[in-house]
Amino acid sequence: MINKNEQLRRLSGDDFASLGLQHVAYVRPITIQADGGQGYAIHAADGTQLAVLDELLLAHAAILENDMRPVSLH
Amino acid sequence: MEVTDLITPESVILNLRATSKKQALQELAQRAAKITGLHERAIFDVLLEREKLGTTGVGAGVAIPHGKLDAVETLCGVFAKLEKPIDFEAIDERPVDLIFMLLAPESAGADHLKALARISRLLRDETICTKLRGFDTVEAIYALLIGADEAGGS
Repeated sequence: MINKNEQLRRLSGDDFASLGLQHVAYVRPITIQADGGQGYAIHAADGTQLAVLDELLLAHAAILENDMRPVSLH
Repeated sequence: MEVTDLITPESVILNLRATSKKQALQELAQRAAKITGLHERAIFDVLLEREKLGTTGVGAGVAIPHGKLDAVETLCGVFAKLEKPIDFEAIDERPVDLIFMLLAPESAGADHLKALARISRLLRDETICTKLRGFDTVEAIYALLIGADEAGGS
């Protein structure tokens, strides 16, 4: 049996990049270029932008709707 | 998605007395229980669980607490105007006095998001919020929520 530290040591770069991919999404405030308004970008754990919404509440709700946990970045 | 699909005059609470966020959520759950026939505690728990993931106090004195429940049959809203603003841990840290609560069935999916979007756009309108704060009858508030919906166009 491999202990947790050993498991972490064996984590490949790809494994690390995909960590949390199915479980966590990040919300980041952005400025929408078209009108200069405030928006919120949703990113997957590997950095891929998934969506842009105009309200933080909606960004969180959209993430929860997809059975993931929202994490806000400031 | 229309606001008329979410509330009736029975869903409007005027001058809600609460001194804390929890108490306000309890009062909202109580009214929603009366409307839906569900257990007040089940509704309260789902609202509180959602608040733990991040506040629904969206700023400018407005909060939109929400949650999904298996037992609820259709989208159900409750609007409350508080007698005195309370701390809701809002994103702008300002006290909250206008609350629109939304319950959705587990299966609601996109409809849940559409309803939230509708409510959040409605209450982002400063003119509407000022009027809501000034009105002192359930009928006037209900008519504005509905009328504003028609004027909003989407």
